[in-house]
Amino acid sequence: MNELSFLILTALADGPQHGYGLLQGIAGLTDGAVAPQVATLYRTVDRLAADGLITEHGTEVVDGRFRRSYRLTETGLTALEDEAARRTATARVATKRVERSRAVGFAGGAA
Amino acid sequence: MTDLEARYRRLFAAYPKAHRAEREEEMVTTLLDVAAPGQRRPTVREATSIVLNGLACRARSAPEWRHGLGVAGLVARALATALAVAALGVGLLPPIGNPTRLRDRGVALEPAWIDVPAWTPVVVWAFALLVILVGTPPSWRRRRHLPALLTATCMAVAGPDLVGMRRSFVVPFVLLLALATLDVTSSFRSRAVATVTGAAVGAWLTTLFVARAGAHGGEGPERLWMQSDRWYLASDLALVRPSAWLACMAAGLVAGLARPRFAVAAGLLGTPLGLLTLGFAHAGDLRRISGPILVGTVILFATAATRHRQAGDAATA
Repeated sequence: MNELSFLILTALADGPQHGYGLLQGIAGLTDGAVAPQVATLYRTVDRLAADGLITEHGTEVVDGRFRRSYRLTETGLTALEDEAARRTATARVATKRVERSRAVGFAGGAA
Repeated sequence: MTDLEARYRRLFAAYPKAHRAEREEEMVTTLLDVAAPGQRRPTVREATSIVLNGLACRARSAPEWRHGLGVAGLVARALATALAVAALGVGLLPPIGNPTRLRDRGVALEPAWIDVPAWTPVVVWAFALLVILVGTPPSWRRRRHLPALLTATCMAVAGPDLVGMRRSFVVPFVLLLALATLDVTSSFRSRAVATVTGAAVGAWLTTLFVARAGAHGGEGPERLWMQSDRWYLASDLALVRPSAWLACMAAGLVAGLARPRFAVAAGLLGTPLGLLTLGFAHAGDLRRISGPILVGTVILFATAATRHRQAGDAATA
C-alpha cells in the first residue's frame, strides 16, 4: 500500500469525508508535508473504491457545488489495521537498529 | 462560472467522457476549495496533474489504447531496426561522387541534415539506455530479459570499436536489434506502454544519428544526398520511406477493422513521433513539427511514467 492510500484510509478512519476534507486530513496527519494534487487524490480514491476499501457515503450540493463523501468499508478498516501494524513493526526495527548503531558508533564517522 | 472554474473544466477534456460525467463536478468543487484567494488560473502543477491523470485514466479505461501502444512499440522497434540496417547497407555502397568534384561541376551544396557535436551520441545513448531501463517493467529487469539487455548494452559499447565502423550507425543497430528480439520473445500485454517510451526514444535517436552530418545539392531527380561523406541520388531513395509509411498505415487501418488496437498503433505511428520513427527526420521537418514532437514525447513519457508508478504501487500493495 502506498503512502497516499495509507493516509486516505487513515483520514477516513475518523469518519466520512469529501475531497477537500481528505486533503485537510492528510495535511493534518503529515504536518503539511504531504499535499497531493486533487487529480492525484481522486485517482487514488478511485483505486481504493475499486479495491473495495472505501465506498461512497453520500452526496450533497452546498452553495451550488456538488460534493461526494466517502467512508471506509470493513475491508478497508482491516487493510488499514494490517498496514498500520506492518508499519509499526518496521518502525520498531528501525528504531532498534538506530539505537544499536549509535551504541556501536557506526554512523557519523565516529568509528 | 468563474474564469478559474472554466479553465479547470477545459483541462478535464483530458479525461474520458464517462469519467467526466461521474467525477468532474466533485473534482472541480475540490479544486475550487483549495484554490488560493484571487486565483484566476490553474497553477502549472495543477494543470499538469489534471492532464496527466486524465490521459492515464484514458489509457486504463481503453484496453485497445494499451494494446495499441504495445503494438506500436513493437512495430516502431522493428522499423527502427530495419532503418538502421538500411543505413548500414547504404553506408557500405560505393559513393557516386565526391564533394570536391561536385562543387567543381557547379552543384550547389547546402547543409540539410542535423549536425551534432561529437560527444552527443554518447550522452544521448546513455540517456536512452536509462529511459529503457527505467521504463522497462521491473519483472522484465529481474527475470530472463536482463541478460539480453546487458548483452545489448555491452555490444552497443564495444561493437563499433570491434568492427571498426561509425559508432552512430552501429550503436542503434545493435541495441535496437537486441530490443526487437527481446520484444519478440516477450509478452508485452499489460505493461507495454512502459516500454514504448524506450522504443520511441531509441527509434528517434536512430533516425537522428543516421541522418547526422549530411548535406544535399542539385535539383529534381538529380538531387544529391550526402551522408557521412558518401553521395547518393535522391531519386533512388525518395520512395522508400513514404512507401513504408503508407504501407504501415494501410496495414494498420485494415487490421484495425478487426482489432482496434492495430488502428491505434497505426494512428500512433502516423504522429510526428511515429514519422520520425519511420525516418522523416529532415532538418526542415524537425523545425516544422518540433512542437508536436515535444507534445508527443511528453505524452508518451507521462503515460509510461504514470503506468510505471502504478505498477510500482501495485507491487507495493
